Amino acid sequence: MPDPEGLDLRKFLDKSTSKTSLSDLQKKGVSSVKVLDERTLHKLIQEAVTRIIQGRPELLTEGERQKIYDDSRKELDRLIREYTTTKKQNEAVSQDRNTLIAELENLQKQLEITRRMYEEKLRQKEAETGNSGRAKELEAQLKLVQEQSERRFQEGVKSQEPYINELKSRIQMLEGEVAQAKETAASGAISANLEALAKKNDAVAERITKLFNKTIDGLSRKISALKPGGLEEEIEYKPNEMVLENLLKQELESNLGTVTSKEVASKEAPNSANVDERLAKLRNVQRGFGGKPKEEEKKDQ
Amino acid sequence: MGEVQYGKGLDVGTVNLVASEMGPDGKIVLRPQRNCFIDIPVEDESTKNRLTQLKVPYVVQNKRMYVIGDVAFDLANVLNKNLRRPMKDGLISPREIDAVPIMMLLIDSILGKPRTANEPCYYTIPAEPIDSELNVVYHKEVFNAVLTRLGYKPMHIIEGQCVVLSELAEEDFTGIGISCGGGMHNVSVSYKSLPCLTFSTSRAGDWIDNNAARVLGVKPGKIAVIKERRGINILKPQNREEEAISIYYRELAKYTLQNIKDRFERAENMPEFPDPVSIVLAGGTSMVKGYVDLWKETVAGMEFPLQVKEVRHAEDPFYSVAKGALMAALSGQA
Repeated sequence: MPDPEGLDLRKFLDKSTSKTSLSDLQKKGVSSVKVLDERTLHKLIQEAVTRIIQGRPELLTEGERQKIYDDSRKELDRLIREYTTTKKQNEAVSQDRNTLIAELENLQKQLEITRRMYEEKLRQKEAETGNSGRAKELEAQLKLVQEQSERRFQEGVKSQEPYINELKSRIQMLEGEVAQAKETAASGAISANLEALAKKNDAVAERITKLFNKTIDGLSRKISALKPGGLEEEIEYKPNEMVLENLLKQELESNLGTVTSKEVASKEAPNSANVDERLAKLRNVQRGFGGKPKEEEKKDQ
Repeated sequence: MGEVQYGKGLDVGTVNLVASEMGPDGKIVLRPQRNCFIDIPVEDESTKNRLTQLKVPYVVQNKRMYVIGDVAFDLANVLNKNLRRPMKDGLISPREIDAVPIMMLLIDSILGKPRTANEPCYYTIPAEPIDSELNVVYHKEVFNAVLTRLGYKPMHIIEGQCVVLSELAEEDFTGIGISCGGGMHNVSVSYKSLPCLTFSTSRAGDWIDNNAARVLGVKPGKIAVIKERRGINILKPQNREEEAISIYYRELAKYTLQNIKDRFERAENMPEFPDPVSIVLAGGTSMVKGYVDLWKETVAGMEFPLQVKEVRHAEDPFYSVAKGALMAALSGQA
């Protein structure tokens, strides 16, 4: 057990005492003794020391006492300051932390919005690509139809080529015959030959005309019978009518309903007939000339 | 006279559109409008309101704004911009096919609504030109479609014949009517209201404007302003600009008369007139001072295949064609 005054009592007692047995004591005629335990002894010593210190105040001087007090006070202040500083630092760190948390949340929200906008743009772009894709698809189909029409037209023309070549060779043959007939004109039998040839020419010319007309009709039929392949509906190739129709359907914004057109009085010479008189004259002239007014013509029809 | 006579006339000119109808008082009502438009760079509600307040007609097409009619002509000259025209050389311009809806609105504004269902409307067409390859078939299709859409029953009449109907009543509608327009000269040789020979030539007012403008280094619109508003006399030009215009007018008269003469001489169905006939000039191009005198001079100086009684100006040259179209519309009624 530690001694508050720094005195090791047990060691002291061991050094300054001797051991005696109970039998020895009896021999010496000691039959009873007073026992004093270590704790009580320690207590006695402590009390003695305290009484002595208290009884002798000159053991600690005023200066020493003040010094101890000042040192203690300084130490206390230092500890308080240290505590306050640490507390402030803690608070600042805590505030920074809160700010950072708020900023982080804000950035997360912005990121979310940006992500949604990007997805929306991507969707729009895909839609546009789809539309322009559709337009391109239609353009490609139109081009295909045009190429098919052109190809079939060329095929039609080509298919008629043998016909045309045959006719050409016939014409050449006839020309040869005519030339031959001219050469034998002096023999006298030429006039009959020429007449026969002329008749033959006429017949051939008529046949050629018919064949050409047939060829042209055939080609026209083939072209009009062309159906555009790959499209769902037939296309009528009348761009002028379609364009006109669409043009006239346009609803245009204007203020013409509120802006009145100017009106001008007709200038008539002083002695000239007025409109009714002129009209009456016109109708008379038309009737007198043999023409009827249009309404009467309609009734006749 | 209180009864409305149904039927309207429409002079479809390269430069001007004129609608005609009979008013309830028995007098002819005419509504002219320039057949042109100009781009306006701004399109917003305040501009539209302002234009309406100023009684400036506008149209919005495909998010573009246009001022149309007479105001467009004035604006083009003030702003030194090019005027756009739905028609060229007497026919619908293939370059301005998109302007057909705008022209339809112009026509609607001057014709008004039909007074009865399918009211007949006689619109003018040029005769086949003898000096170019223009074809009037598509032009007719367009106007048939436009007038049908406006609720009218469209009928066409040759422009030159309209001059005969409006100006040659005193001569039993016998003679030669010539409409001197912006795009063409239209000629009709008529015997008792029947057109015997009709044709057109492709040089007219626009040809003068374009050529004189090129020579003088200005826009054609400026030439038109000089011709129409400054009272120029082509027989007495006062300055360089009038001189240039005068030269082209002389060329025009010579060219037109030579073509008429050639055509008369070639024509198989040229009638034999028992008496000398009058030549009547109408149309905007004929209104310049000295033009009729120029024609008189030129006719007198050439061997014309017909006996000509006189060359005279129409009573109301600017509106003669519209009035003739109206006469045709009204005479079509029993």
